[in-house]
Amino acid sequence: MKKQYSYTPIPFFDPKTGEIKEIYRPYIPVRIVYRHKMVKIPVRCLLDSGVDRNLFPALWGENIGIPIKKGESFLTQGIGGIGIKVYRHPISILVGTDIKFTTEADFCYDHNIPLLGRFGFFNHFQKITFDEEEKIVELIRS
Amino acid sequence: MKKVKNILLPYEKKWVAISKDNSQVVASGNSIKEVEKKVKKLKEKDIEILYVTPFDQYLTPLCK
Repeated sequence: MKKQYSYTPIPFFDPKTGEIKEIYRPYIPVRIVYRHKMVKIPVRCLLDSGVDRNLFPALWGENIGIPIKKGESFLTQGIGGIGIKVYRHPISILVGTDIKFTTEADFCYDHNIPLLGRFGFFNHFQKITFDEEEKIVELIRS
Repeated sequence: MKKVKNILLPYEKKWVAISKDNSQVVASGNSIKEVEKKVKKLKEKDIEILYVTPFDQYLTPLCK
């Protein structure tokens, strides 16, 4: 099974030129499911091969009744050594209408961009390719 | 100053409901919940929700 998604052009300010340019990012629209409650509208999550685990905004999880602060808490660290507190919960992820798998995600009140990580998303696919020329990401599931 | 045309320009640090082909923003708000409520009233279909990152920051795995 293959699914393709075009990159999303996001504006950014280039301080060298003083211009607003665009950066193309590989987002995947997903819905999360928790105990039979499902997010109705897909949220575009950044497919990030440099991130170990799924990391989602806490308020997104609260919308479908996830008791965020009751999850096991961890300190996660990113570039620059900044540590943030996350709460881990089991969820299901739905990609489109025909790919669904049970996984885990870390939820955080200090983070807005939903991230899809290597353990929890990437490992549920046989192959994920980033076509930088066409600006398409392809998910392949055996 | 050149300015690229991008429909997300008015929505920095906002959540938006955007059409699948990126041609239209149908709702915006300060949270996913706020955007979902607006979309429900509009009865729009084939849309997705996106957080528009700050324009003056490059993305790292941690971003507020």
